[in-house]
Amino acid sequence: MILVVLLLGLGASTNAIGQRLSIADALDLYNRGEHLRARAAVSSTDLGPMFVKLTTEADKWIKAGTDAERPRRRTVAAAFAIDVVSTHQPVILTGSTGVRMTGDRLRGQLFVIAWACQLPKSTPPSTAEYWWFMASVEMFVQTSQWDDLTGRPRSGYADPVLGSFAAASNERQQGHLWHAKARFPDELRWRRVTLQRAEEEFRDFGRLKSEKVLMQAPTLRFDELSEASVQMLTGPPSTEKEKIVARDVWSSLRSALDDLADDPNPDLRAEARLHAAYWRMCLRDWQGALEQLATIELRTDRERFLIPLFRGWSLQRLGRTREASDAYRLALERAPRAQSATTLLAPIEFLDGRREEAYRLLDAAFSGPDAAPDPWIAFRFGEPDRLSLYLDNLRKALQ
Amino acid sequence: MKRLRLVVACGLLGAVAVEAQQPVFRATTDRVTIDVSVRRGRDPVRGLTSADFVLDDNGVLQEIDAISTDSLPVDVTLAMDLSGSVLGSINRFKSNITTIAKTLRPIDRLRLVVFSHGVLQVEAMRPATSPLVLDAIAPGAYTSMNDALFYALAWPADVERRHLVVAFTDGYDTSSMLDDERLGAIAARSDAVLHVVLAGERLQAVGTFLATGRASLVAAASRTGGAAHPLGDAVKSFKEVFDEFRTSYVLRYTLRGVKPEGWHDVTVKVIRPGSLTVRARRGYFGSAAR
Repeated sequence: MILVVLLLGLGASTNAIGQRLSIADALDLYNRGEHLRARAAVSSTDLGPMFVKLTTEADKWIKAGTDAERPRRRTVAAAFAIDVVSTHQPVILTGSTGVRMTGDRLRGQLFVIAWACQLPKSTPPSTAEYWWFMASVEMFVQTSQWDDLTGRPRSGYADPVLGSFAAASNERQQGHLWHAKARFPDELRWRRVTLQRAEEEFRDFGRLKSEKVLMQAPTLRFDELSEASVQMLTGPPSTEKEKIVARDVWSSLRSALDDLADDPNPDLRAEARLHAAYWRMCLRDWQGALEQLATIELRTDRERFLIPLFRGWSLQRLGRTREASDAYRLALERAPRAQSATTLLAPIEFLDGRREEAYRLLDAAFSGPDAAPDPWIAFRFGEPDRLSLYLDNLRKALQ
Repeated sequence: MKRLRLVVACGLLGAVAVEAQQPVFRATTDRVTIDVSVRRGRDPVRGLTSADFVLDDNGVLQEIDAISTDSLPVDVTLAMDLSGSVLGSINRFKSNITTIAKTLRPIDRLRLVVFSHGVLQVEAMRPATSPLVLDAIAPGAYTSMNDALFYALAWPADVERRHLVVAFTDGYDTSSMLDDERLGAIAARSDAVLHVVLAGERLQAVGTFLATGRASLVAAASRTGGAAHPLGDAVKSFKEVFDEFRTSYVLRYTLRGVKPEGWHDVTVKVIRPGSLTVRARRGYFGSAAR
């Protein structure tokens, strides 16, 4: 949600496009496998106009091919477009002129992905298309553009720079994830993303202690939750409707979670159970969370950290502070200096009067120079390496 | 919407202005140290002696062992929000921080903590005269404000130094492990005074979340005796806060007739004629272990 905020009030920039080749030339380069050189040739600090030009010129480049060439050209152009988008970080800091946030990147991301998504596809889907969808979905995940990913009804798309673009409106209304799923219905990644998206909606539920707040969240909507289909109402519903919708969402969510928690795939099963436990924590069902956590096998370092972290979190809320403290310390043994476990353990020390120990823990975690690895960050915010991995695979699939 | 936001912001700051109290309590063994600001209007009242103060600790009148108006050195922790929602304000944060750093004295010290989805101390506590380098600080997306403020407030300031925390943020926490309730408890037990400089542009879309987060933050500042200030007045507010630090009285007493552990309600009065504003913290948390 925070990144949605960034879109507000960000005007078009006036910098020139730093393009050293025509888009068509860059696409030719990309098509020949010179991916990085092609990508660098169209890098720009003025993203809005660049994205418009990129898609317009790419359309021409696709049409310029023969009938036999066009399917590949479409795939190459789609790959090139998201590869270019990926080179522009959502947040940029410039030294002398201060901070400039590329809201253009976020709008342009939807614009470009929507453009590529509506290009005719080959049957059956190619490996390149598979990695393209993996990468494009990941882009939305890593920038927290959940509405663009899972849809927002009655949402148009009009941008002062990029203009009114029907494909982008359509993508935002329908949700890119469902387009990905339509092409690759068996991909487990979509289900994991659905877990993350659902979690995003419920994260503040317990914290804000108000069912009403859930309904006030401007992004609230599930088009589909795993295999379940949940129809959410938007707009200003009545109090009774709010209750019904909230209950229905949770009911469907729990049902979907139960399905995933018994999935034959052990990775997905463990992931689903971790998320299920976390959701229960968000809903302040601490005992339920502990029971859920007890069903997860300790297989990976990530699980060996997150399970005691979540156990401690739940135990603490149940008033079992000493056990919580032990659990946090166990988590810190798995991931020393992890900020998440530190910030849960240190308050116990501080409030019990062991201030020096509290500060020692905090200082170890926060004084840098580099933050220690923290599996909670990946669980909560996604894994930053995933996008580059998918893009690498996409480029390889084009060769 | 804009109007609504302003009303909310004014309401929050107004509430703080009424309750803002300037602390500091530090307790070692059974000795307690309190900063008390006494003003007539905007002017500090000077020349008071221990006989002018009446101090109750958990309802028990305490004898003041020592009073001082020494200008104690100050440790200042600056905590700067670098998350996405304050991108438009970060340059102003930086320029305010630079100005604030220049107002400190050679005997004062400064450290800088920044936060987005993580927390990082970019400058350890060091002499205030050393220049701050802020150019290389890059923003992030999420906001672990509560976690950062805990780290800031937990600084173990020396008994002979005061600790002031100034946070530059919009109060919109999105990713802290520490919840608002616990931050409030920590603030109440901290020896530091927390002042918050609030940015608030472009945030009307998240009114509910923002209002909740800001109210908790402002309450936490209030519990330390600090207050919230609008970004536009940050430097002026800081100078006033710092002046108050410099001109406040330091009362020391040895706890008598009261169990050291647990929460201590403290009231400080000045028995002098006229309308005086006496600012001192409402209490502190003592421990049997101390």
